[in-house]
Formats: sequence, structure tokens, C-alpha cells
Amino acid sequence: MDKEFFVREIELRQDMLYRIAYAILQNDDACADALQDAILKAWEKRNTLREEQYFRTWLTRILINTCRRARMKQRRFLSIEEVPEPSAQPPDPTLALLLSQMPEQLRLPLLLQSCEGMTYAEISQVLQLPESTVRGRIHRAKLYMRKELEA
Amino acid sequence: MKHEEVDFRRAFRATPEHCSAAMMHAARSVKEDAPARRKLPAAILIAAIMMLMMTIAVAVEGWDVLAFLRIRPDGGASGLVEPVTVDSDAAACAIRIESAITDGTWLAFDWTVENQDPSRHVYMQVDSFTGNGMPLSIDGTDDFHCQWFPGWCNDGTMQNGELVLLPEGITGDVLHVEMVVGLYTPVRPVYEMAVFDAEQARQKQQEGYYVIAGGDGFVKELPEEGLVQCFGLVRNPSAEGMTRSEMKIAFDLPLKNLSEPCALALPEPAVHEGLTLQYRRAETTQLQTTLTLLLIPAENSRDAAKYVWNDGYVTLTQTDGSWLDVNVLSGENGGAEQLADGRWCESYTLSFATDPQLPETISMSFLRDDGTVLVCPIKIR
Repeated sequence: MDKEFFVREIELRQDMLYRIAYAILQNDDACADALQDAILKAWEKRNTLREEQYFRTWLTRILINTCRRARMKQRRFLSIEEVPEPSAQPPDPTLALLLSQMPEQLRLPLLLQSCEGMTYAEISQVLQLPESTVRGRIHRAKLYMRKELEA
Repeated sequence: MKHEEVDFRRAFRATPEHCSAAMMHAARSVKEDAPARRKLPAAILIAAIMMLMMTIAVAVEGWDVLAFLRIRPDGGASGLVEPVTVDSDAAACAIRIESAITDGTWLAFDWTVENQDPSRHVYMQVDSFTGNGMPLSIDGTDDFHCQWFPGWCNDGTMQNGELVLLPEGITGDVLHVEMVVGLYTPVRPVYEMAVFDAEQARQKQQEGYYVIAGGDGFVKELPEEGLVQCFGLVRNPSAEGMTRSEMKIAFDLPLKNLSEPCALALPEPAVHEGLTLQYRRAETTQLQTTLTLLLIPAENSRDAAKYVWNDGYVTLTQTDGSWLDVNVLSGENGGAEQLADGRWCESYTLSFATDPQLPETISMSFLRDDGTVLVCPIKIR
């Protein structure tokens, strides 16, 4: 992988990367740090990616790991007074609220499928879960959303 | 509104400028000639330690014990599969088992559980589960045990299976398995909330509803804690405001002509920089192979052992550290412990389907977050 390919891929996938980071961290400043960190890590580990066609799943996996670690640090150090201001409103605040209330184990597979168009096999690789578990979680997530939206 | 119509991207605002700038700054700042770490064959994509015990909330065709165990139909254990075709029903619920398998050490079977009247909520729990009269344990992962139906699976159907370690002392020509599934139905009408909300739950209780949340557990008033969501067994249905009925299933599997578990030869410890890997136990049966690996940090302290997981995880690989296509059935962390020689270690036990198509020698390896793979080869045949 050369730098030109790497920069181009990051540029193309900015929105996807942001959504995934935000789905885990729920805070823009934390996202900016984690995204930067994940991109630098990805470059450092570039030789672990044998085929460039898997760049998206590979990078997503690195980003999710980075965000989860960042969140652990957030939990450890954030006091009540330091809770960050919420970000500006998304186009559908109700949907955003419902998604944020959904357990992460359901939210992430749902986003990877519905927003990012990943296949069950890709999500299985990204989240390191059996494909059938991914199917089950997406099914549960959709039922959850359906119930909440109907309510 | 159906979920198919929902554009989930609308839950996110456009990428904020400073996030975009952070990404592009990071990407453009990388140096082409910066040394990359050790080259690995897509190690980052290796499916890590995974629990197989998956649950499918929509019935699929051809669901059987081999599908549950993810054993290829031509795999080594497939010859042990027995069709059992057990059905039982009560309170509009049904349980169906298509096939089961035992190698004398483990028992596995598929199941499909269904509430045919999804308008009526039923709490299912396994009240009794025995093999030749000896108690067996439900594996407890993604199970119908202690679940509401429909609960989280709105159509009221769940499909999965059980993988159960048989107790020592099970003998005879036949393994007779019996299971009694209790079906607990609230007397009052049920109000179901997706996520537990104490205030709303109290209001609905006052309106005369039996409140459940998220498909699991019970909403109960606890002294000093108020209204909370509890999880566990129904022990006294009438006190809980429920009626009970039950489903019984039973089937037999032959125990004759099964091979004894075979202990595998333990190789010498693999000493890597900062971490030594050493097998404690390696055993194979016709159905599954189990390996226990000790991770012994060079820094000899309890904390160093305990926090070994901060640096990576254990999985099965080829002997060169590359990806191995293997059906991991379970993985369990044994916790930090001190060996007789005073060294602190962590242990990890992995079980996987015995498969003649696997290489003769594989490795239970530690994959560090920096991409390096520490291997510890072992012959599995």
C-alpha cells in the first residue's frame, strides 16, 4: 500500500469513519482524537493488510479498537462536571437519540450494515464475531428500532 | 414505519470540520519510508476468540447440530450425529430438536423454540436437565433458558443449540437425555418496554400491567433499591403472579463404540520476548479438541499476568502465525494464578471442532495489538 492510495482511501471514507467513531464515543472531540490515532496506527500496520480490497474492513476494525480504548479512558477520567457539551443536532435527532440508547452490541452491526453497506461476512470480520451472531444482532437491532419507532 | 425505510445516516450530522481535518492531517502526515512492523498475513482480520453459541431469531431451513457446531457435513464428527426429532409443546409454545451428537465427553444438540401465539408472553426456563439421571448444565449463552417469548425475537422463534460437558461417571451403552422446560405466563396483561425505565414501569404496574423489559428478566420492587430489572429463575410462580405449564423432551444417544479422549503430547514452552507460552493440557475427542495455554509474562507479578490481555488476545493460527480456518467452539480465560515454581501466569482454554482437514500441527497463539504473533505449535493428531 502506498501513501497515495492510503490518503485517497481515507479521504473517500471520512464520513463512514466519523459515523463509526461517533457511534462508539458519542462526542466529536473524542472522535477527532480517535480518528487521528486510528489512521496513524493503520499506516504503521499497513503491511498486515495483504489485499487492498479489504482496506475498508481492516481500517474499520482498527478504528473500532481505537475507539473502544479511548472510551475506556473517557470512563476512567471523566467526572460529572467534565461531561462534554452535546454536538450540534443531526438531521433526525429522534433517530439519533434512539440509536444512542440502543446497546452498542446491537448498534454497531446495524450501522455497519445499514449505513455503511457492509455484508454480514464483512461485519463478522470487523467485529470478530461469528456471522450468525452478526445476523442475530442485526435482527434484534431492527426489531428494537421498529418497536421504538412505532411507539 | 418499517426499519427498511429508515435512513440511519440521518442520525449523524455531517462530519465536523475538525474531525475531517484531523483525519486528513493524520493521513497526509504519514511517511512513506516509515518502518512498518513485522509483516503478517492479514492478522488483523483473524476472527478472534469467539463463542459459537449464536442465536438466530428467524427459523432457517436445515438447522441441525452440525450447523450449530459449524462442523462441515464431511467433518470428522459428522458420523456421530444421531437424528432425534423430538417435539414437545404446551401453552402455545413448542420446542423441536432435529439431531444430537455425543462423543462420551460432550453432548451437543440443535433446538428451535417457538411461541406460536406471539401476543401472549411466556417466560421459559429449563427446570430440569439430566443425562442418565445426572444433572447437566445449560451452557447459558444466547439461550432460550430464562427468556421471554416473544421477547426480543418478535416473531417468537429462536434457533440455537447446546454444547454440554457431560459429568464424569456417565456410563452405559446409551445416554438418555431428559429436559423439562417450564413455561411461566403472567396472569396480568403484559406491558413490554424495549429498555427498562423505572418511572414508566411503575406507572404501568399501577395500571395493572405485568411489565417486562428487553426480553429478559423481571421488573421487581426491591427494598432500598425501588423498582429494578432482575434476572434469573422463577422459583415461586404464584408469588410472581404467573401460571406454570411445561414441555418435556427426551432422547437417547448411543455411547457404545466411542473412542476414549486422547491426551496430546505437550510441546516445550515457546519463549518469546516478554512472554512465554506453555501448554498445560491438550486433549482430543471425536467431537472436539481442547487446549489450555499458559501465558507467562517475563515480568513476574500478578498484575503483569492479569494485564496480559491489555496487549492482545489468544487465537488459533497456523504454525507461522497466519490465519487458520477453524471452528472455535468456546474460549475461556482462566484468570491469573501462580505456578508451583512461583511464576505468575494467565491461562486460556480453547475448544474447537475436531476436523481431519486441519493441519497436523497448529498453534494457539498470542496476537499482540502491534501485529506480532507469538506462536506455540502443537501436534493435534
